[in-house]
Amino acid sequence: MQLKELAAPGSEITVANPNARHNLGVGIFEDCAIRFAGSVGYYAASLLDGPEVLIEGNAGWAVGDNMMSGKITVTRDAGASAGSTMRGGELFIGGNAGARAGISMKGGSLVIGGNAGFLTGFMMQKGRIIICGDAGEALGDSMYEGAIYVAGNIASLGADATVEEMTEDELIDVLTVLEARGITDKRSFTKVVSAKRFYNYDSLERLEKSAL
Amino acid sequence: MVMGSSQIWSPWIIDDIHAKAELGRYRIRGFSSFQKVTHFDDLTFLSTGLTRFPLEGYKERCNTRTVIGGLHCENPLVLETPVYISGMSYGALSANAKVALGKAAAMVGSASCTGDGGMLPGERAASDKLIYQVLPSRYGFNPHHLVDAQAIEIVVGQGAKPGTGGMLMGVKVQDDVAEMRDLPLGIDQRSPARHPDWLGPDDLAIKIEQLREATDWRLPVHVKLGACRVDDDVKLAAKAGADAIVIDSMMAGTGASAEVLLEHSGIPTVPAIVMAREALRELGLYGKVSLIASGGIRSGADAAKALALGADAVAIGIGALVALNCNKEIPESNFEEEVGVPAGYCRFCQTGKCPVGIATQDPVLMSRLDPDEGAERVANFINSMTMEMTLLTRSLGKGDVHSLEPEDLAALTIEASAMARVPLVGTNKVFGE
Amino acid sequence: MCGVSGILHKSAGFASGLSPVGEQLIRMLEPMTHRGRDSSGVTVVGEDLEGDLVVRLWTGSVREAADVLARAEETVRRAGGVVCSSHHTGQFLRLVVNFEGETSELAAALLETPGVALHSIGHTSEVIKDVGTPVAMDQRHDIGAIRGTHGIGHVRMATESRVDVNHAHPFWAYPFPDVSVVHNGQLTNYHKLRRMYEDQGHHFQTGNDSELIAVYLADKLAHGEQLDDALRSSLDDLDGTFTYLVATREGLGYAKDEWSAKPLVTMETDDVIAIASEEVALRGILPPGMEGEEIDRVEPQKSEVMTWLL
Repeated sequence: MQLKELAAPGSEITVANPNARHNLGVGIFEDCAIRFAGSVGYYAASLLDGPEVLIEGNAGWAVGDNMMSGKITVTRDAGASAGSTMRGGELFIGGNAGARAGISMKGGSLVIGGNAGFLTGFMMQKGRIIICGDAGEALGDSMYEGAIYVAGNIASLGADATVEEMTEDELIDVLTVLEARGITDKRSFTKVVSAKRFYNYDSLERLEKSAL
Repeated sequence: MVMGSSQIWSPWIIDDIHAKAELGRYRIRGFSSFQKVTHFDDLTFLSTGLTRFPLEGYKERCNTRTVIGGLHCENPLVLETPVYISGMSYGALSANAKVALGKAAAMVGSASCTGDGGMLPGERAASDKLIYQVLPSRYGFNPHHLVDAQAIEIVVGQGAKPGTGGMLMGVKVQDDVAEMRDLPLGIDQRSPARHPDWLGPDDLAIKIEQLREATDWRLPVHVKLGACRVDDDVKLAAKAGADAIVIDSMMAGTGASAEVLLEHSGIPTVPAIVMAREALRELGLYGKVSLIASGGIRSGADAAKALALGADAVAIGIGALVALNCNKEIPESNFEEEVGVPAGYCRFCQTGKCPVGIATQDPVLMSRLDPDEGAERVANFINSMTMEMTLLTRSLGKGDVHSLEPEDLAALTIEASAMARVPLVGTNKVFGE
Repeated sequence: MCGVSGILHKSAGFASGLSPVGEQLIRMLEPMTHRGRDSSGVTVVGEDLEGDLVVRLWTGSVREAADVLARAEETVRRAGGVVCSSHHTGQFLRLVVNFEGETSELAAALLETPGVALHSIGHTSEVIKDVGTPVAMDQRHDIGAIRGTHGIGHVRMATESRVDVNHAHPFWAYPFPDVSVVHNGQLTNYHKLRRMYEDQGHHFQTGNDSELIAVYLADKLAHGEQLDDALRSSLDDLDGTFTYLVATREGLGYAKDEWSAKPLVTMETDDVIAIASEEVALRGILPPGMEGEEIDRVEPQKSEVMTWLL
């Protein structure tokens, strides 16, 4: 709460020794810069609109949860549900991300420098996920829209996820995002999207048929 | 020669099998459970005779003001009546319906609730007190809307479909509904059953703290539970830090649910309230953590009985929609032609063909609902409920609806006695104890 | 639901001396108190005992504790054991005994002693658990003073069973000495499996679903399975959600369900393996001067099993 009071447009705030505590940097709507000099716990830099946040260490579950806009950098690993339901902005995980990264994501970019865990992109709706390392099992399970780009291996695709050819423009976009993060050694990616087989029930009751 | 008909293979069971034989999947419909279960009608009030001093039913003071939450937050939700309007999404309902409900609640000094589709600007503008839901899907979830709300409700489950997510058929996932939810146009939306960022009551405690941080510890946090394993769930919600617990029973309504869940999961409202009350008592939190009951609340009598059993407030869903004109033939409608059944029998909210403009996204149908007139009807209904409650309360010699207690009730059936834990009429016996 | 923690000193052993495992477990649990305040507990393994076995008992009445202790001593003697030392702190009873027979026989005899709940029997370990927070437990039981080689700990937010001392974790794998578990999650085939194990003669002391994991592992170990294999088969046999830790005389292990529903992070340094629900717990044991330092921690994913042996 103190952090929110300090946050003003253009201000720069450093939090020393965050000690993996939960709910640090929540609900800040100002275009300010916040630096956590160490690991943070659950829901770090969540419910944000605007700030640029640097986490010098690991993050717990749901870092960047429901971010509207802004930029978050985690220098090391992130726990489960990184970038859950995020709607805009960019979340960068320098290390590995745990299970369910980008779950129910609704926009923005989630960039993972290392590996991504089980169920990454589960029920993803919009936006993009870029994974420089390997992706765990059930990648993109039940995703609606959006795209997941994986430089490494994919353990398995989730239900209704499928591989699609990547356009040159897309590749340039992805490379540009990575280059801004200082990653230049990844040149080719597998693109995963929704197969859209679950969009509608293929059977309708009499009454529903007339409604549609 | 007809020899009678089977009670086991009734005409609707036969029809149900025919329908599934065509469909190859479970059936989906709106409205609520059709099961006949123990309900408030099975309880009766013991008004005053010679032992007590009755208050004049029409004029003497009877408080209805209701304070929800406050244990962990600065600004509890203060309502002028213990009746508020429960969460129903923009998407399931039309914009006109959402605005009418918000406005009706404001007219009676009460609250309404957003539902699984985000906060509609018109609804925010029309409402005085608006409860913002945090659902597994987080459709349209926006932290700016969160801080702009008067209370937060984390939805763990819904009485109409506990343990599963919501549903919105493609016919309603159109235009700005699809846009607000970030969904492709026309898909049959199946909301997740689990929250994306917490998976157990231990993590929920941290999630609640996050929402409090984001709202500067001002707003009450409600946790809404589908009534199933009430005792454990209520205790866990309270331990996780809820200010209020909403217990939504198997009689609760829905815009679309798998019929198998509507009919075959959850428990009725009466035992749900009693179990929740006892769970809070065990933790020493009864009267500190607020208890809200919902599911099948149809009148002031139902609401008064819910309060007597231990609820602090009730939330109404279908009741408010019926006041809006649900299942009423109006000059513009033709139920038989439009949904295939006469008014009074419609439960086709999921088709989006609502003949009265409530559960639809069709602009022509929606125009059949005037939000101002609708708001007035709903406000009238809530006022009627409040008056019914105060009338009963005064007849019991009480000047505050929150003075209602289980001892004011008797049960008309053995089942109701066991579930409500009040004596059967004509006996001193509480069955099951 | 809950918080779990575990620690193992790699270089530990009787030669290099014992480590402050009790104190470290408390330091890991304390910052996770938000995950559960109903009860707390630890198992410390590798204690240096003056006898063969340490027995931990609990009795429902503080007034009868001395009598119950006397009865328990008598039970040990009748089973052919020798009581080296015994004392009770309130309702908690601790006996160190020399016993050469089958532990299962001693356990069965103790269970039949009126007024006794059996928390653990171990050659080098004991289960200590109580209601309330870890700090309160430490104050009552002086956990911080217990040294050992490794151990596990727990804070509990009760889900589907009652809150009392006996329902607290860790659960000892009756009648296997030195095997105990702590669990975060909810098993959803508990009642069915419990009935099956009861039909086979296994004994349950509580209504806590987590006790089933202890019994499950005891059954597997009794059939000669390796710990690693037992943990792995539990991934298929247990339904619902779980991250659980197990301590044995030889080491530590964990198993994490196919849903990856319950958090876990692990950290390995030159000296220790530390595992916990949250990083904040791992940071609790960083040596002075290291508090602000970054740590390499691994977040296990789904269907994972790991064991570390001394």
